[in-house]
Amino acid sequence: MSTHSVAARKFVADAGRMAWHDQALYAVREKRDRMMESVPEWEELRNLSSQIKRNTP
Amino acid sequence: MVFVREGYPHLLKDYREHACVDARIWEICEFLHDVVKPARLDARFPHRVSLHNSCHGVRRMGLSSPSELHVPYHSKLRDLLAMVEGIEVAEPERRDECCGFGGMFSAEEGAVSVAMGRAKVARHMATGAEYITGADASCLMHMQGIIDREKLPIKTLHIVEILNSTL
Repeated sequence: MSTHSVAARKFVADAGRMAWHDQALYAVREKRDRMMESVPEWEELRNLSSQIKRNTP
Repeated sequence: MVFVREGYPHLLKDYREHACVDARIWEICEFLHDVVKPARLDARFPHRVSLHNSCHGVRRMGLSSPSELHVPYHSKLRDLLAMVEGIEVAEPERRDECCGFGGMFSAEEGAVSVAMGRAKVARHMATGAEYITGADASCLMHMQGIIDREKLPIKTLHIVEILNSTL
């Protein structure tokens, strides 16, 4: 087992932290989706940032 | 399915004529939806089902659209189920989130895999459905394992069994 899976087992056993972690992560995604709807040039910005990432070693 | 279609051509790059690298390999729902295009199915399934999207189905095969693509939602599975008489189709919250199976992931990261599966089954159950259905047998197997262990009042059923059903 990897060190990650050993640590994850402990983390998952803590229902409260698990729920917080799950909500916190999914909230980021929901915010992203909301912003996507509200910013008209979203796709253009996404393409530009994607190009920056590809150009950054 | 994705592994056969996308992975095998790399593994078998010297075997252009091999059946496994044949461009005619289709997932059955995309084949029905995109090639056969039946006008009717003569299927009947008078039950409430919750539709399960597999990650490969959503993000590699285009069976349905994920929110991040910023396109109107569509689902080939949903289109096919719409031709089944008597069926009620629901979709869970977070419909394009993973069930936690992921092949080797479930062995390497058992605790996280089970936690994700439990959350996913709970969201399917929250729709009030009697069945969870989808096109990916591995997601269904993972969720059925959790359902069996926890004796939950819902069952998984591969979508083909519904499309071919005359109950």
